[in-house]
This record gives sequence, structure tokens and C-alpha cells, in this order.
Amino acid sequence: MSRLSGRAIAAVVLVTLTGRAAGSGGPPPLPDYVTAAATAPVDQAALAAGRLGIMKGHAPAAILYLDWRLLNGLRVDAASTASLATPCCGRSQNDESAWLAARRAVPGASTDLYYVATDREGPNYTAIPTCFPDAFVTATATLQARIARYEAKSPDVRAWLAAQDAVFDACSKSGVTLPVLAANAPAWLRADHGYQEAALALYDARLDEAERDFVAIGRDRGSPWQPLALYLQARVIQRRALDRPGADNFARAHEAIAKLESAPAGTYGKGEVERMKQVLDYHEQPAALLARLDRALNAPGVPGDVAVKFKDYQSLSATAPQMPDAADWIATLDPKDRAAGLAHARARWQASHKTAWLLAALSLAMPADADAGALVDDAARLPASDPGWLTARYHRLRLTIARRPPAELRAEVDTILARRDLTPSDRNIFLAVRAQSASSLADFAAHALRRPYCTGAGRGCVDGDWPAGDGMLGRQGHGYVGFGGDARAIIDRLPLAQRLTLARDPSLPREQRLDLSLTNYARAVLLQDDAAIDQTARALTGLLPQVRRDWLAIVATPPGPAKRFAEIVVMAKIPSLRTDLADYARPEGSEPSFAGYWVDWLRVPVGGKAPAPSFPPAGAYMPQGFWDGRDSDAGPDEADLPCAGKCGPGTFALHMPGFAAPLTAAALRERSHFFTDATIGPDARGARSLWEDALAFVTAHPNDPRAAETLYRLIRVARWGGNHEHLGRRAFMLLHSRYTGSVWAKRSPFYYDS
Amino acid sequence: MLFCCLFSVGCRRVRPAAPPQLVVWAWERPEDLRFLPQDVPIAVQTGFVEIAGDGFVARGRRFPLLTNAAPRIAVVHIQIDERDPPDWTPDLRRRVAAAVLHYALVLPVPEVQIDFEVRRSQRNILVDVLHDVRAGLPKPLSLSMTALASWCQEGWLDHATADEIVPMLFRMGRGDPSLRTRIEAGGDFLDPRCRHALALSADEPIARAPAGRRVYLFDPRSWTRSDFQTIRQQVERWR
Repeated sequence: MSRLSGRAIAAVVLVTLTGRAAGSGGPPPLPDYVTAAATAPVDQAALAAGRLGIMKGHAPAAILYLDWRLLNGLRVDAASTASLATPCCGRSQNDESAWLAARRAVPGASTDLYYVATDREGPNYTAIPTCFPDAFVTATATLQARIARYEAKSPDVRAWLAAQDAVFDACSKSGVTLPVLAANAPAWLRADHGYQEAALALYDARLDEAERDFVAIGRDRGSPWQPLALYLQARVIQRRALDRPGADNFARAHEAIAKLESAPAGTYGKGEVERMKQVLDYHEQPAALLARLDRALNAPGVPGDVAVKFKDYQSLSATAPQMPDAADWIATLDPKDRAAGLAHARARWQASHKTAWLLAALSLAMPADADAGALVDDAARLPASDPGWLTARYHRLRLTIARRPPAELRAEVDTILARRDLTPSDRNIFLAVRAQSASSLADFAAHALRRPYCTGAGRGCVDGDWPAGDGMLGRQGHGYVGFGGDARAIIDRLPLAQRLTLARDPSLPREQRLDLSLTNYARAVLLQDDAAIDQTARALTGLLPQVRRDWLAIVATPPGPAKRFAEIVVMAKIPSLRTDLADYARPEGSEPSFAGYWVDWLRVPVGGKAPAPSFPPAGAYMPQGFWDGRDSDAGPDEADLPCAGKCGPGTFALHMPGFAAPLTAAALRERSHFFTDATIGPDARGARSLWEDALAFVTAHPNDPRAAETLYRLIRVARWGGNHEHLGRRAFMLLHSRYTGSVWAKRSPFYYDS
Repeated sequence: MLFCCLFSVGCRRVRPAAPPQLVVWAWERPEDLRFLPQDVPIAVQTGFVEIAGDGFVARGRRFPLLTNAAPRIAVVHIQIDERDPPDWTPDLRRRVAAAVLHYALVLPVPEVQIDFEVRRSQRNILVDVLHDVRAGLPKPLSLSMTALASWCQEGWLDHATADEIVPMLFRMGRGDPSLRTRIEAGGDFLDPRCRHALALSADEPIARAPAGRRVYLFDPRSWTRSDFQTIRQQVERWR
């Protein structure tokens, strides 16, 4: 395959809008419309201000804990929100980086050291953290102090650094020893060396030796490390208790920590006492610790060190004989068995009358559940002042959208959308509800667009997995917008006439009109609707000017085989063209760089009918939805399009708005005139392939100026699209026999057959 | 003039394809793979690196892997914090490479794999990391990389200094499903370097894929004997 071909058929699945957005300050945002993780400042600010918004049942547990606090009238503040919303885990390299930079100031120090591993090999291929950031902070400060006092070129400073390198080596290796100190080493270096010996012994799990060394340092009034000794002794003794659990070792650890606790204010490490006690209790008295944490985490004010407390609380709750209420609530929101979870949540709601449990039950309910009606009634009774009110409203709308009067539903959602305190996520969710209850096509268009979650240049705010799909974003004002997944699903269920009207809607950004017009064009060609073909081709001269001449040729050619040929020529230039927004990708850049893969464009023979025409399933419109073009939505489809699957197991099934519902029958009838990937099968044998039509036209019109190029393109279509009846081979043979020496023949040295 | 006939039915009739070599990924979560046959190698995630701004977070495996046979491949997963785009300086590049090399070499394995999905604008970072890791690995060790399937249809992987490229035929998002369909229909990846291995997920079976390749198996949950047997039977039915 030539390099040219390689470029031409390059598949772009990541962010394909880079070229279009050139000069706009970076790539466009990822098309993420709903977040549950509260990583963005706007969400953290809302929580800190006590605004719960729509509770997302699939949010991280730490965020759900904040939700729990708000629902139970407990305070939340900015600091605790930030600490709980920050994803864990891992060790930041910033402190280590500062250490590596500091050590390079010493002449002769190795300059090719860029990383210090800080964990040791544990059982079953695990890695156990050994050295923590404070070790690097201390080492950096000490080295800088020694350089300031004795100069970087001092042999003693060099000796100090060699010893410290050995200490950090021991973070990940056993058997490391310190370099021997010179007999004439100064007192300061000897003191430092003693501390380094003790630290190395601790990392190497030689705990008796480490304890002895730290005790000696504690007794040495001349050592600059004496103030740290008490804390480090306690650390060593605590570690021994954890490594070798037993009453004696735990008792010694408690004693050492108590000694540190009773030391004078300002004693090094005193601030760590509570955490050290918690670590001991975690292993020694888990039930008592869990009860204590539950009290602390349900206190009116946010406890100090809330993230650490919550982590242990979650971990201990998972194995506790009986979960505390908050942990139970969090676990119930994402149960393995939705029905069992719903029954439990409802029972807890009836027993406790806590809003949190009502919301849990609502987030688990589906319209067909026996409990749904009662829950909806309960949700309606929740006062607007309740922090759970917005969540209750959302689920009430979700559970009743199919049976409530649309006008009443629209009025309710419009009132909510008029609020200024909605987070971007929640606004997008309510817009999705509003679009699905639209009164007309124009009303639908007014609510179909969503703003991607974060629009800061180059900064994403994506929670969960990295989104693999590219977006179909357009420019509106200074920001980006895109059709919500529900909106795209509804558009694909509309007949061509309504889609044509929508594509002309001036309120939609140019990019969205391009996407609509291209998919309309594919449908119009398959339906042989010349008026629609000309209408879309005219619009596309401005929307996709890269192939303007082709659009103009279509409009200028009267109906008949020549017009059909002109229609197919442009389809051979746009490999990502589809009839549906579900699997379409926007052509970007210049024509040779249009990305994607061709599909079989098969028309049903005159008088024939495609088998079981169907729409793409709603799941195909989810942010990371997988759809291979073959599944239909014949069965129940509960893809949670408004909330992108983040609001909980109770999903929001796609609801066709009132104006569109009666049109789906007509849309399905249109689909019976052509095959899609979902309907191609053995019955497609009698179908007419548009690619075959193009080959027949070229065969019959050897002097058409587009003939050779079309054969070249058909070879590529056969390789990466359909290859019925050896289309690629036949196009190749004709190209090389009739147009030998043409640039198109030279560009096609191969064909691929199957 | 050269006529290429790839994957013709006739060829397969003459020489039946050998069953593909399976490799099971042990992702970072508790895994008990003691049920695996001895001839199925394990690729174990040994390291996690997340690049954010001008720094990064690195750590080793936190969850146990139980196995009767030592893993054959050490996998280092790298990702970019989308909330804090990287400031890819030469210093950060060196530090990240050193961390990746550390976790790639914690086990005495003959193969190392880098799993690093990047956006279009971040491809240079992936290429840099691969280059530096390749340069730092002892010669006998081979370097593998996972790839979004779409990357195998483009030209930029020429810059990736890996011995093996593993296109992933799952979680492909919009657009890529057509490629998956193409593979099932007997097609192949454009980039010849992508024609030696591929990867599947236990929850997204594929009807058929080119024969004779190493097949990496991913499971979105901790592996079970049943998951493995199901996907193995599916793969062995490919013809």
C-alpha cells in the first residue's frame, strides 16, 4: 500500500477536531457532558456550598460520603471537599524531584540518577511502599544546609551524599550498606551518619537495630537529630507490632505512641500521633476503630484528616459483620443485584425516613418496579428546601416521563433549567430530559445541544476511563457544544423530511448542520430522493467545501445514471459517511485526509424490502458506547443517555418526544429501502450496490474524466469497505488495462481480494 | 505488477492455522490465575505511572497475583492526568523513563510491555517514552506496546521503537467498530507491524481475527476459570 493511500485512509478515532480548531488555543475539549467525580472546581464549589445537585449513584465513594453529609444536615467545607475529591493513590514525585535537583549541586555526584524507587518487593508480585515523601523533604533540607555551611565541594559533604544515596537505595533493595566513614570525619558528619544508619536499618526492616540507633540518637544532646528520635522510635516500634502482631508488641507500640503524645508541644512527629493510633487500631481493634470513625464521620463538623479516616472507614466497613449506616448507604447505591438493593433501600427509607435512603431507592428504581409509584409519590412530597430535592425531581421525571402530560413535564423542567445554581453536569442532564419531552422539532433543537463539561484550553475534566471516542463538537459563541447522546438517538429515529428541516435550523452551529446534512445525504441517495439530494448537496457546498466541485456536479446533473454516478463519486471520497449519527464521524481537514472506513451502500431492489429494519440501539450513543453496526434495538434497551450511566443503576430509557413518536414508523419504512450493517445478511444478495453502480458507469463511459480516479477509489473501497464479487480486482483490472500510465494507475500498484 | 491475495479461504484450507498463542493480562486488582494452563503466559502489571503537569506519580503493584507459573511479561501502565496536561520537559521525560524502567525490570522477565493510551496531541510523549525505555532495557529483553486499533491504520507508529505492537480490539469507541467488523470479515491492519499480535476483551468476543497471532486477553473484572475457558473456546473457533 502506498504511503499516499495510507494517509488517505488514516482512521482518526481520537480527537479529530484539532485541525479545525487550529488557532483556537488548543484541541477542543473531550465530549464529556456529565461528571460524577467532582474533580472540577465548579463541582467542588457546589458541594462546599451545600448544593448537592443530582446525586450520582456511581460517583466515587468519597464523593458519596460528602453527599451523605449534606443529606443528613452535616457541614461540608472547601478543604474537606478538595481532599476527598482528589483521586488517590500513588506518590507524587515532587519531593523526590527536589531531592534529585539538590544532590546535583554536589560536584562529582552522579548526574544520571532520575528516579529513586521507594517500594520493595512484597508477596505475590506486590510492591510495598518503604520510603515516604518526608524522607526526601528532610534529606533535601539537610543537604542544602550542609552545603550552605561547609560548601558543595567539601569532601565531607560528598561523603554525606554518598551515605544518603545508599539510604535511598535501601528503599527498594535489601543488603545495602553505608560507605565507611573516614576516621577523621568531623562531628557533624558522624552525627548525620548515625542518623543515616538508623534510617537504613528501618528501611531494611532490621527493627531491633533501628530502635537501638534511634534510642542512642535520642540520648545524644549533640546530635541535630535528637529532636526526631522519639518519633522515630515510636515508628519503629509501631512497625514491629504490624509486622509481628501480638499483645506484647501492640502494648509496646501504644506505650511508645503515648510517650510521644505526652511530649512537650512542638516535639517532632507529635502531629502524627492520631494517625499512628489509627494504624494500630486498624490492626488490633478494627471493630472499635470502625465505631469511632463512624461517630467522627457523622459529627456535625468535618473531622480533621477526613480523607484518611474515610479510607479506613470504607476498608473496615467492607468486612464488618454489620455495616454502619453511611457505609451501608454508599454500598447500596451500587449493588450487585439491583432488585435486592432497591428492596434494602426502600426498607431503610421506611424505617428511617432519611432522605438519603429515599434517594438511594429512587436511584435504583425502574418504572416497571412495583415500588416505583410509591417512591415517586414520596419524591413529590420532598420539600424544595431539602438538599435531596433536585435528585428526587430528576428521578421522578425519569420514572414518569412516559406517562405524564408532556406540557406539565416541560413546565417543570423549564423551571429547573431557569435556575442559575445548576452545575454543568446537572444542566446537561435536565436538558436531556427536556429534549425528550420537546413539543416540536424547533423546541427539540433548542434543547438538543449540550456544553462539554470542561472547556478550558487544553484542560480536560474527565472522570472515569479515558474516553476513546472522538466528539462531534461545534463552535457556539466562545465555547463548544455538541448533540447529547439522547438527541442524536432521537435524530436518527426521525424520517428524512424532519432531518432535512433540522439541518436547516440556523440556531444550530455549522458543524452540527454539516453532520446532519451528510447523514441526510447518505439517506437521500439510498432513497433516490432527487429533491433531497439536491437540497443537501447545495447546503454541503458551504458546509463541506473541500469537495465543493462534487456537490456542484450533483446539483448540475439531471436525474439519471450520470447523476447517480456523481452522487457515488463523492461518497467514495468520504469514508466515514453513514446514515446515522451513531456511527458517523465528521470528515476533517483536506479531502485526502478524510478518515474512516467505507460501508456497503446497498439498496433494496425495486419492489423488495429490507429484512426487519431497525434503529441503532440507544447504547450506541453512550460516551464510550460500543456498537459494531449490527445490533438493533429490537430488545429492551436501557442505556442511560441523559446521565451517561453515572446516576445509578436505575437508568433513563430513551423516550421519544411527543412530536417525534408518531414519525418513527415512517422512519422505519424509509429504512426498509436500504440495507444497513445491522440488516445486511444473506438476503442482501439481490440488493444493488452503489459501488457496483459506479463501476458499471465507468465501464460504460470510458471517457468520463472521473473514470480512472473512480476506479482508484473503488480499489480502496474494496480494501477497506465492501468487496462484493471481487470489486477491487475488477476495478484494478479495468484501471490498469484501460488507463495504464495514468496517475491513478500508478497510485494503485496493488489490490486486495478476499 | 503484484497481486496480493491475503487471507483467502483457499489458503486456509490447504494449511490450517495453528491455534493462536494466548497471553492473559493480570491487571492491577486481585488476581488468582492458578487455574491457567502452563502454556498460557501471564502479562502482569507491575507498575503504574501517571503524568500530571511537570510531575508524575509512580507506584508498584498493590494487589496480589496468585499464579503457579512466573509471569512472562511485565506491564507498565502509563496514563496522563487529563485534569493536568503534561509539561513535557526533557527533565520530566528522563524521570518518567527511569520510573518506567524501574517497574519494567522489577521481575526477571524476558519481555516488557508499555500500556499507554494517548490523545493525538500527546503521541510524541508515547514515542519518547518508548524510545527511552527501549534504550534502557537490556538487549535480550523485548519491548511490546499496546495500541488503539485505529493507530494501526496510520503511519505514525513507524516512530514507535517497540518489538511488538498489540492492537486492542475492544473499548474502541465510535468509528473503530467498523475496523473491528473489517477484521471479522477477514481484513487486516494497514500497518504491517500490527499483524503479529492483537488483544481482546472477555466481554467483547470477536467472531474471527487473523490467524497465527499472539492474542492478549483482557477481562474487565478479575479473571475466573469460566471467563478464560469461554474466551479460549471463542478464539479457538476462529477459522
